[in-house]
Amino acid sequence: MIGIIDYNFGNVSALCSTLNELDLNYKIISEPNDMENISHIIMPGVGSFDNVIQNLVSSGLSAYLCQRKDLKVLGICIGMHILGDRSEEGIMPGLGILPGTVVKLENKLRTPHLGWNSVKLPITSKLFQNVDLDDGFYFLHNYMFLSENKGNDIAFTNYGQTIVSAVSDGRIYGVQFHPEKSGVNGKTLIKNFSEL
Amino acid sequence: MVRSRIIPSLLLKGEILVKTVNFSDRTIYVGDPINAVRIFSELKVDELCLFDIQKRKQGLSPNFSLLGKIAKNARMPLCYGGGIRSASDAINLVNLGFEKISISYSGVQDCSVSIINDLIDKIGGQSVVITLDVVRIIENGYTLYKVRYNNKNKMELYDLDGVLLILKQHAIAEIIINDVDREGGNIGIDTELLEQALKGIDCHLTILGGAQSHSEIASLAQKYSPIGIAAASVFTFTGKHRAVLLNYIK
Repeated sequence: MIGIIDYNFGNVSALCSTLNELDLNYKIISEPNDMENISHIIMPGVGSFDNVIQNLVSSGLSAYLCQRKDLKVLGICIGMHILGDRSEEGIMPGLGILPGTVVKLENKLRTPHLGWNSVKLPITSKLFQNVDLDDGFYFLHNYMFLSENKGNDIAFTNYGQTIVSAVSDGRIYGVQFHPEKSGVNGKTLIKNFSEL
Repeated sequence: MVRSRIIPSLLLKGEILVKTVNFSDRTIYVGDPINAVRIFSELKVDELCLFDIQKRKQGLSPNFSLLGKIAKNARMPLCYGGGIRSASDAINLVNLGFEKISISYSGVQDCSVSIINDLIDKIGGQSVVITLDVVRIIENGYTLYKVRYNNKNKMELYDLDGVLLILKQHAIAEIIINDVDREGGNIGIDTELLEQALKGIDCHLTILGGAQSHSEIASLAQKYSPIGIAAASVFTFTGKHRAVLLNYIK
């Protein structure tokens, strides 16, 4: 079953609607006791770094998620950033389960990176199976993820600079865009994740 | 490359959608908001803006119950404005499924400029939008753009460039220029206003008010890409009798 982490913040509701449409079973997770029968976790994606981390620490989910080595994890936007080691957006350490850091976008274009943008996929990935890469996804972010191991980067997007739009390290996945607000492509990606 | 956003804009009054002209008190019934959001989801719109035209005037908080039902039916990114007076209002809206939270410049003045930083701190600057109600005055034969602030007791006008300079100090996502004089008028988008605003900011711009047709919107979206072009009447009415028929650019 899929668990959606509720850190009292983030668009949990939009993800629930998407999972309902896909007819997938899910449960909202607020603390480690909610994790029974959960095989896949989605970390939702609106918020600021320290607020999200603080909530995960106080609920006990931070320590729990770092211990569980069998869970498939999908982090969305800020939900991906918090999987890393640290971020320029905050002062608290990240969960450190996806090696990398989060830095502010640095280009001559208007920030944040806002709107629909295409995605390039140098190598095939099950996560992006049947996705229309030119149509792309909805992005809304000021910061981006930099993998420690560049081999983990699986998708890229251009916005005045190359942005890593998806990463994968074994069972851990992160996407910079918002699949829950990206129409058919977003639904396809969430479905693909559920089948990993 | 990132594409321009073409955005239907909906006005909430109580629990129904209405359309105004020049934001006057006269309104036309448009329909049920949940039904409208379902239709715009089917039409695959880039984003949707929803403004409650009464909440700030009445000093009321957003109708979270209704907004939750609306968000559940939305498959597109959502922006909401109306009656937001604190970061906790904004957090509630994000939890309901709204990606972007808009506070009007009048709303900022009601609270104090520090509310912008509170919102940035709590929900992240990428989700903070400021809406400016822009009007024109003629001075010495020149048209000047002014940001209108009004509450129950007073109405003031601020120089547009000055307000943009103040907002430039805050890492917000977007400024929505609401062209009050052209709202509901279908006389065309004011590109001089659009260009003046674009010069004054580093964040994204969406212009709302005056759009005449799909072709005008598509053409400006291409010319000024990436930009947000929002419209209400064009995506709400059809034909010379202006029958309500929600529609979108194919």
